[in-house]
Amino acid sequence: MVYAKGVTSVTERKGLDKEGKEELQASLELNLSRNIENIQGVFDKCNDLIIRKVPTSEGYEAAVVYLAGLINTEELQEHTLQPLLTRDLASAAAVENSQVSRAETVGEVAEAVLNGEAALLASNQPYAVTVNVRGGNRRAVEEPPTEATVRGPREGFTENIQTNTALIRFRLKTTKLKMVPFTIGEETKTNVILAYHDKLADPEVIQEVTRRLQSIKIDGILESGYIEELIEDNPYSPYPQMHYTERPDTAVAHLLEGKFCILVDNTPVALVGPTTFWLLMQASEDYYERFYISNLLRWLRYVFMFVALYLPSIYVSVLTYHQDMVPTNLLYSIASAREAIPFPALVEALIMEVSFEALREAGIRLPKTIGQAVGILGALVIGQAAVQAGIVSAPMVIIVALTGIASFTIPRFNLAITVRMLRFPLMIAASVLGVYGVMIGTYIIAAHLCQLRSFGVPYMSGYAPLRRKELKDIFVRAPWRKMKTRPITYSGSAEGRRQKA
Amino acid sequence: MKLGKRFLVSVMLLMLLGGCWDRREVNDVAFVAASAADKEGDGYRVGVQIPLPGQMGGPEGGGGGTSGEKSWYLDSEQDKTLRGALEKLQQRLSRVLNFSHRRVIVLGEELAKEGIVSVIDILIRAPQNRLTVFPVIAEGKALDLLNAKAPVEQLPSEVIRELASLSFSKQLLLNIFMKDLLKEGEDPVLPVMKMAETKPGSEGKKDKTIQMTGLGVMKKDRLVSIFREEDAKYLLWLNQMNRLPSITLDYPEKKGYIVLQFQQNKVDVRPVIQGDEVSFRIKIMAKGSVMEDTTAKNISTGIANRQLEKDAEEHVREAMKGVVSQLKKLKADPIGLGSRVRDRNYTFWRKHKKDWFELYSTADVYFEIDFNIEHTGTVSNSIIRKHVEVNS
Repeated sequence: MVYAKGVTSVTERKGLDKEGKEELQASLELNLSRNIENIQGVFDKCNDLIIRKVPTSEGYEAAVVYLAGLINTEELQEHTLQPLLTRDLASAAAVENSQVSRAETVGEVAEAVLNGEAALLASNQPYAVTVNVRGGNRRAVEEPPTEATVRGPREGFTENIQTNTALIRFRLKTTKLKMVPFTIGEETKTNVILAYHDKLADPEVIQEVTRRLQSIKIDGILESGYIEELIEDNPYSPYPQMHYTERPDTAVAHLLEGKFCILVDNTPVALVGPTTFWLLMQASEDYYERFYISNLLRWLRYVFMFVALYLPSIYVSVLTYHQDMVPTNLLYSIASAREAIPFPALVEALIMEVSFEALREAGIRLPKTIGQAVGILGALVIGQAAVQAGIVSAPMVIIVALTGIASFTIPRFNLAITVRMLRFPLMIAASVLGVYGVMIGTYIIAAHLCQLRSFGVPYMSGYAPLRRKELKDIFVRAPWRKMKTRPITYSGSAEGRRQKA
Repeated sequence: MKLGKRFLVSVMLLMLLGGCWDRREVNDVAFVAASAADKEGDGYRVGVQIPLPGQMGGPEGGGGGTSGEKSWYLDSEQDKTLRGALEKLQQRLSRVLNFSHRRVIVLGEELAKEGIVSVIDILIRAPQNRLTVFPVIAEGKALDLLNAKAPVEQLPSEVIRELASLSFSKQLLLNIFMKDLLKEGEDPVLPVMKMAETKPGSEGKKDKTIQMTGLGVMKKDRLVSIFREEDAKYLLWLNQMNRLPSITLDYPEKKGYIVLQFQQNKVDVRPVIQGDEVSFRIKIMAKGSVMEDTTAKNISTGIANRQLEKDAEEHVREAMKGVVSQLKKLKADPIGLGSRVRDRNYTFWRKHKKDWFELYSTADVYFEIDFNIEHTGTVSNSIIRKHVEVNS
């Protein structure tokens, strides 16, 4: 694996630091204590820098430099320091470690040390040997809580990018899987990897995403969300233009469809692109369960997406303008429930929707134990007391509850948020213009969705522009036997059958 | 981006232009469940029945300004025109009258006899009025019918609606009525209802409810006669609007009755035109079953079964002949014999359109009836007969 230690990455690192250039440009000298002094100068007031002097058998002096907590001390001791005591530093092979390279300047040493490597210096040697003994305490591979499935692998990405690349490699054992490293963030120097399948991915898309990744100028990347926002086609659209996942199996499935995957160090969330609207409505389980149930669930999700988007606005518009549309008996019962309500339907709807959103938000941030209390409070206060007090009507509570549940059926949190957000303007349009207003809103949303692109791929691709062969994985999930071809939406070419004919 | 901003601004303006002018909250609207129209003076008395949502058993916390225990409100006003009467009504109603949920229109007998086309106009002119409303004729005053207690349903209008839809195999809605009215050679029929008292025995408290009394036979838009009981039943049968017709055969020599019900029936009316003469052949086929048998007859054998079928055919033939001759006398044609002639031979129809009812009143009508009694019920043999056998 060509990982951040290759020649390219070293050259990339040069010149990134603007401050203290001279200090960093300084080459290593033959004098060990001078070198150590220089390094200490760069790492001034860095308490976690550790410099250990090691007396060697050969009689020369050596030192090992690393940052506390970033390395695996055991490995350093056993495979690096132990052999050093007996052999010569000059031969890099002396170090029983697979990832070893040379650093010629103080800057390079600093870079490597910051990246979690250990640098070995010796007297009478004008260079340092950096050894990849990365370690430190990282989270183990766990089941991703945001994308739990009943059936399917339980592994999720972790914060460690190397683990993540390995999780992908486990599943995709081909040399055509490329992993191109980037270092983004002036200060954080975050390792980012662009993974794609060389034969399946559209080269133009890869070129474009490479260009966009390279043009990012920011001091810190703490989460893949930074990158997502910085490389989106239309950053002001309410709709997400990148898919994200915590599941390596999902990531591999996307790689196999010709999409690329961006792994970011220190976050378990990998980005996937280009995406379409349909992708955001799919769950990994759609492909693991038999197709009948997958189809049923997929339709259920589509239906409830519309419910989540439209139910409150339709309710408001029908109750304030088009009472004729309600079946008579239903209208009587709604009218009797609303008889004592002091607010117009829109205000009632807004009160309930906003408090629902607040409840949801409160529930997310709170620890699980308190979250339950919030749930009970919410259910009792806005579910029951508000109805009994005659502040909101019971049908409205049902509408809001249904809308809430419906929005949770959308498998992707980012799309669910968009839908939840868009229903507020729709509600206001409904209260001003009735169903006509809802239709105007719908047209605006539809027009926006049709013009939206993700890395040049139309957002509604497959349906608009229509590609009949791809419909088999949009509104339905065809049985695997029938999924003979890959969607050309992402790969850009008809190349690649999934199955031999 | 600039374009986007402009677009956004224009959408905002669009919203403002629309305003909330048409906004009507549910609790600002009085939904009329039924309206009644009677002849009064040289104009009409129009009544509206409005359900009171606060009294309709909503959740706790309901109950706005409501009156008494009734779940509905009834008011009427007189004016030269129906619209005028409604406007007068609105003057003492705090909510806007809305007719989009009206399901029943009750027309007074007197009004129906004079012709109801003047009332129909307002019903079809305003888009708010539904054509899926049930027009019903009330014996006596229409307004009185809406005052029934209606203990089973929430509103009297619901009782009327349910009765009107239950009594026929197809729903006699306003659009059907109008179609029949405008069709050449066919007259419409309307259900007739009246107020009735329940008979809960001497201990019980009597309630006023609504009863289906018969079928109003119209000549164009005028009510000419009300067919009751048997007459109504056979007229409906001829129109194929009867829901599971049943007949009762009288056997005086056996001191008992047999009740038959017909599940599948087919009526085929054919005009026979010969020169300037017209006659009709009405073919009725039905499959029936025995519902009740108080005689000691053996009806399980083939011969007895055939005899039973013959008796039934004879019974129905006589009854239908009676109905047809009554219709001839009234010069009303709810069966649509005229339209059958028109469909069959248009030149003949055009020639005799003027004197059609002369021809109609003298035309012969032949009945070919074929009944098939298929089921005699779960007891093949009469329990009464066994009882007689055992005890003799």
